[in-house]
Amino acid sequence: MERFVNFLSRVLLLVGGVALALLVLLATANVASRMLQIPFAGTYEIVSFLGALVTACALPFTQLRRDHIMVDILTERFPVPVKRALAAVSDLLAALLFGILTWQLVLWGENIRLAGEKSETLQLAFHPFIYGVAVGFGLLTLVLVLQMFQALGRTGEPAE
Amino acid sequence: MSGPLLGVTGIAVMLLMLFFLRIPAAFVMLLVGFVGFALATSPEAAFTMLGSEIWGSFSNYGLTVIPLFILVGEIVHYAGYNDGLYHATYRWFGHRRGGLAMTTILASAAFSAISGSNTATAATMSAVAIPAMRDYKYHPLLKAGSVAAGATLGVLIPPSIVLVVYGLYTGQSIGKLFFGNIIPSIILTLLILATVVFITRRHPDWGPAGPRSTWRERFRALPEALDILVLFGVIMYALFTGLVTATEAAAVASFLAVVISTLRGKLSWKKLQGAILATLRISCMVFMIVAGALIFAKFLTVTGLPSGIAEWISALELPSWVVLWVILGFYILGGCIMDALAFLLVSLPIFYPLAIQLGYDPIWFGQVITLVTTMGSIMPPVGICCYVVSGMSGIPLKTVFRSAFYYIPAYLLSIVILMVFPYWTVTVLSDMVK
Repeated sequence: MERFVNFLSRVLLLVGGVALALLVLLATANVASRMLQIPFAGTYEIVSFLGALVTACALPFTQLRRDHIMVDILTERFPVPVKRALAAVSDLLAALLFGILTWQLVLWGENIRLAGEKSETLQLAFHPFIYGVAVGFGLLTLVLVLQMFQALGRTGEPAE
Repeated sequence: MSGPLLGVTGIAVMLLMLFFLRIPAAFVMLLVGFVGFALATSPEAAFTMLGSEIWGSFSNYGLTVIPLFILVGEIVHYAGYNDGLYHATYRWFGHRRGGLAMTTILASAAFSAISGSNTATAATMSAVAIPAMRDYKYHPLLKAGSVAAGATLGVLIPPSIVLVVYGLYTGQSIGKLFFGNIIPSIILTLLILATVVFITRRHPDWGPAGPRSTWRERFRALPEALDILVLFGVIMYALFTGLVTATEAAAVASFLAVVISTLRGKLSWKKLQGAILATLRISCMVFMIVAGALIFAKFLTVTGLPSGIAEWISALELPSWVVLWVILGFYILGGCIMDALAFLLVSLPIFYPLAIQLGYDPIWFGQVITLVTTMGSIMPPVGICCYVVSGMSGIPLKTVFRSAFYYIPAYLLSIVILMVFPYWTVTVLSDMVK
């Protein structure tokens, strides 16, 4: 399970990196094309959707490394078992929240798909991007569940 | 429970969870904001709000500027420009007393002109400056302090991530914010330099002068500094003319940064990968804090707390500068106990409407707030810059915090100058942006 989640996180990271590179190239090309008077409508939309993928794809990996900013000036002084318990509670709460969020994003994507909603300029069906963001949050939820069990199960210092 | 009371309870619960659980600030804001919103309206409304708000902020065109500005900084960082900048500055200032400390601050300022992060600046400058100052037998208090204080310029000098986030959150123009920031940045940099001069006057043995470089050496060191200047110029020019969006300016700068550093042979495929990976992680962190703050603010707004506080304070009929110092007091305190960006976003829903109601210019308020949060990053117990400097240099944390303390008056004085001359320090330049 752990290896599976690790592997998927890395795959998503790769997707995020590609999305970031495309973002740079597309926005740069758009500036160039405007300077050359060959306007290319609709880049704003694609840039926005790519931007959503960039962040969503980095979610599981960032959590795996526990990179998110935390205020631990008090809790770092607590004894190790207490710290582990607190980490487990935190992971559980976060997993619940992001589980709900994933579910809501899927519903939201369904709504858009069924309503046949398209982006304004390009008339692009954008629900796949919403599902993409949902995948990022779904895997984040899995990572949190995994980290909760790690915090409960192992001895010694909890993973930072 | 009445609306405002629910809001106050929400803030209290959030702070308790933040301090007593091991949960990231972004997640707490999301969680409390979501549950609070459900209590204030209905669970169904909260579910829908969560999905649509998160998708809305993730796919917001304006927010794509965050990963792109982070990417420019990371590329420059991975290409190793800090080294070149340091040596170039050293050639010009190294022969003065405390010259290496001044070099550190000026090189940090130059690096900050392309990087929006203080921790990246602290890490790179520690790696370059601390060994150099050790060789010249600089006192630890001068060594550590100059790196930590210099690094804080990373969040201040444009492109600054804090200003970008402030602009996105309040709907202010990022171009105006960046231009309004130029004079405050210069003032703070000069005051920090003056602090070094002051310290070395009182303790001449803390920072002995180095050898003088020849003019030939000085000019030969310049080309790398020029690259940074070009990138900075491109970003600022693009934002100034208003021909491109902030996202496009950042994208073009990233593209140019890759091209220039590859041409100079400084950027390998591996380093580029490192820069992209770091960008993904950092922007994910920043983005989640922004998303958390947005949801939390949504909750506070439905409780009516921000407008309630604003009404209450205006009923007190205090002079507006007193209220402003009270707000700043909160930021200093907040900056001491939690990450500056996180605190900024937690507090903006309350303090921003208040400042606007008091009649302060939003662009000017952004500069003051950024200065204060900048200062928070060198203050104990969570001043992040000091942690990085201590971690990178092996100088004890206590010494680093003590050394950084010398520079606090420089920040306070900058804030006072901004308050006394709001037009000449901020508005004069920000008004020129279209």
